[in-house]
Amino acid sequence: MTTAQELRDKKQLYFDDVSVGQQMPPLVIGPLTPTHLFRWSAAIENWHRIHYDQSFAIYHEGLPNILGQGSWKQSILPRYLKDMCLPDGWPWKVSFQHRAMIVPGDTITVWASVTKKYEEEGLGFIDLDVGMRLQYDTETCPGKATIVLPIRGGTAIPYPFVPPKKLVSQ
Amino acid sequence: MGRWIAVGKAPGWDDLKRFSTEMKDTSQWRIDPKSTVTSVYALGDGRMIAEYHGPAVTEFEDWLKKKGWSVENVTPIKHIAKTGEIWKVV
Repeated sequence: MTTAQELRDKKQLYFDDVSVGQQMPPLVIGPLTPTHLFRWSAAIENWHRIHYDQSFAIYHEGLPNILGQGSWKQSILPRYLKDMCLPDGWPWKVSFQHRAMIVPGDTITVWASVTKKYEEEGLGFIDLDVGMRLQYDTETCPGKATIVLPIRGGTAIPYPFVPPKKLVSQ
Repeated sequence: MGRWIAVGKAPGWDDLKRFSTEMKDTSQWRIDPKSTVTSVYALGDGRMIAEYHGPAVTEFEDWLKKKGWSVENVTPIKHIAKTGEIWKVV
């Protein structure tokens, strides 16, 4: 797990340093425990029993165990992209599908690979394939993302980020 | 998905260290994304009980064979009582 101090000390990733086909450093989380899941349920007040009541999940819902929340997965990919962009970049957009269940015991590898890089209005845009793989290589959340990275000697990325009009219509 | 329970004997599994080696790691009980050995009980008389959740009993039988169990029988679960909660499984 990355600490807050490590994020504060993180070196900026620049547009210049990224190339198409590059695999970004993965984030590995797990093995997940019921405590991870319960903590998330409590934090967002999601009290559906499939997330904390093992007997209900297994014997009533026919599931293999209590389930990791979709909203938890939705928080992990943006967090991964945000950490990748810190301190001066911006995770502009991400979309993905939920394709497989996550249960306690699973270990998740969050990954990204660069599919395209381009400049627009002096900013560096990086398109990525992203996902979250389980320990047996099952892809649970395939998707796509775009991050914005500073170009060395170039324009600072505005905060809050406003995407160039030309890209918004795409 | 179905649920089956197996009764049998697993040599050496009455030793907690061996039992842990056989069952603790996720890969030992989460066979694949659809197949899970949800519970294993080591009984005082040397017998073992294992509960399986998955698409086909054949996968469970393969797991038992791979683990070296001497299986008395494998049968579907009908219903379960857990501390006052009753679950109809099939």
